[in-house]
Amino acid sequence: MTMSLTKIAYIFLAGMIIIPIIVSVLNLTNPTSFSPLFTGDPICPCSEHWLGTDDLGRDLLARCIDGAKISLAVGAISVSISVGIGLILGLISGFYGGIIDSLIMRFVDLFLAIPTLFLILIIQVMLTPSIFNVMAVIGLTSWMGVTRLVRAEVLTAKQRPFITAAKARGISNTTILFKHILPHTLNPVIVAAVLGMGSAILIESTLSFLGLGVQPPNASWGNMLQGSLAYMTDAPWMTIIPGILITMTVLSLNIIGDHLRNAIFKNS
Amino acid sequence: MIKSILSFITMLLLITMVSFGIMRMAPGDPTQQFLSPKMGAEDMVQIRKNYGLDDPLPVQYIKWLKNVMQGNLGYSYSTGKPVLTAIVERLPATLILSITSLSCIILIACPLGLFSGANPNKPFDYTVTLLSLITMAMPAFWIGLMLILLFSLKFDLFPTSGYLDPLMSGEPLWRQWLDIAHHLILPLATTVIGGVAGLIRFNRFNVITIIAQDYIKAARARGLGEGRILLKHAFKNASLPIVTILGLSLPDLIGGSLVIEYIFSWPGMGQLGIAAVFQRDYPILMGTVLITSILILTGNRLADMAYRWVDPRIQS
Repeated sequence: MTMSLTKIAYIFLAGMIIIPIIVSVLNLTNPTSFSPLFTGDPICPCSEHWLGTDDLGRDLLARCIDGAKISLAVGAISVSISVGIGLILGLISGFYGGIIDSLIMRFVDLFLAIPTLFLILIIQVMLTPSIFNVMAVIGLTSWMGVTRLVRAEVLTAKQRPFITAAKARGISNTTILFKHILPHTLNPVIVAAVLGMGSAILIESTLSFLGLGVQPPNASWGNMLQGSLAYMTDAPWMTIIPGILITMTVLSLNIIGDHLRNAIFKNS
Repeated sequence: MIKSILSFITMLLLITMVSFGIMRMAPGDPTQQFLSPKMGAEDMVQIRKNYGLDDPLPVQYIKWLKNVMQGNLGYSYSTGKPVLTAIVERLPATLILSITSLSCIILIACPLGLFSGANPNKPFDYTVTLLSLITMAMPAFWIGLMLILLFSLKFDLFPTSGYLDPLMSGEPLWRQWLDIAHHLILPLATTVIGGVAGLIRFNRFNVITIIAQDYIKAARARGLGEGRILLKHAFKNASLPIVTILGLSLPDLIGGSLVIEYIFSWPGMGQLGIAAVFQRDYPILMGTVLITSILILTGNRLADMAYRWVDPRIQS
């Protein structure tokens, strides 16, 4: 059962990446054009509009496909930022130890004690909301877990005989850190990155839902939900469909993350 | 003891300092909302001066801190109300929602995690694992929207939003409480569905590792019943890390309830905070940050103490 679930997750995620690319390369749909059938109310799912239209008469399927690009891009880029920060801080903290280590760890504690969402909200209101700010803000507020993880990995790797051997051969600290220790930390970091991408997509959807994330006319799954609130009774598909896409994507990422973790765990 | 009080205070100072810095360094001017055609440029300068917005940042922070020490959190820019009153008015709703949801999460997650961990890879375990994977992947606010769609709009069982019906103000107290409870169910269900899965998975994993240990085998060899082994031997040890995890997940829980309060118009601190964010109401924002951090840090300390209480091996 688990194997087939993992397969479905990989296939779904691949679809979420490939379909929007094919659609936009072949120019099959237009997420910002208005339906000729539109008379003022959102159109129900029908043969012209498989998933119906939104309140402005734009095809929901086209917007979902377009939103996939943006939601996944926000997830991927903000995770790259947070993993980058976490890797560097964790390596420094674990390798050098002492005052630097405790300073960085106190900094981690500090950021963990502030509700991240609250921090992000404050920053987002102050900046003008845009896709790039969303990516930066999510990345800059979610590096703490990776820092801790990398630090722990470095601490165990440091004890291993091959590091002592490298030191005995007079190899410089920087070389040891980047050539010998860094590769040892990468496996768990990859798992953390996959899982982190899921939570970044969730944060993006929350921000966009509050109107502080991706701004219209760009479509993201979160800001499609924002527009749907007033039409919950008359056009429930506007609320249901983007949410299902978010859930399926994050679910796939979580399953893939678990699968990678188990694979690594079995190897070592 | 003294050390933990000291670290409590340092954390509080650091958190408020960081939030203060972020808020004030960002572009945007809170006095914009007072702008009216009748005012000249010098009036705006005067307003900024009255609020002390032109002082250097550290001076502003120290001034704020001094006032806080004297129990004065300042006055809201948008309503002119004292910040402390505004927050105290909102505190009961927040506490009701967070305490009930935390208790429900524990009450649901412990037995489910225990049973699915005790019988791994059985149908029950698969169902629980699959369901918790799915709920973990849903945005919390969307769970709320789906519940509204289903239970308020479709079946009309619960109100879509609010706290206490204004018409109830003359009714006896128990009727008012009943009304609050009626309004509470959907936001509560949303927080619980969004928060319970992580703890179930964590608990399940713990139980699986513990059951593989030798002392459980020894208990089986002594001929103890499976139920007794699970409840008395396995669960006790599995519950240790739960305390820590709960303490650590407090910020997320409070952060998550921000959006849930917003969706259900639940008049708690989260709603106040979100409104303040949009209005750049610095005093209210700082007050909310201060009170939430105190709540979170106290929660962490309580978790630490509880951990020592359930596990006497750990000495302070």
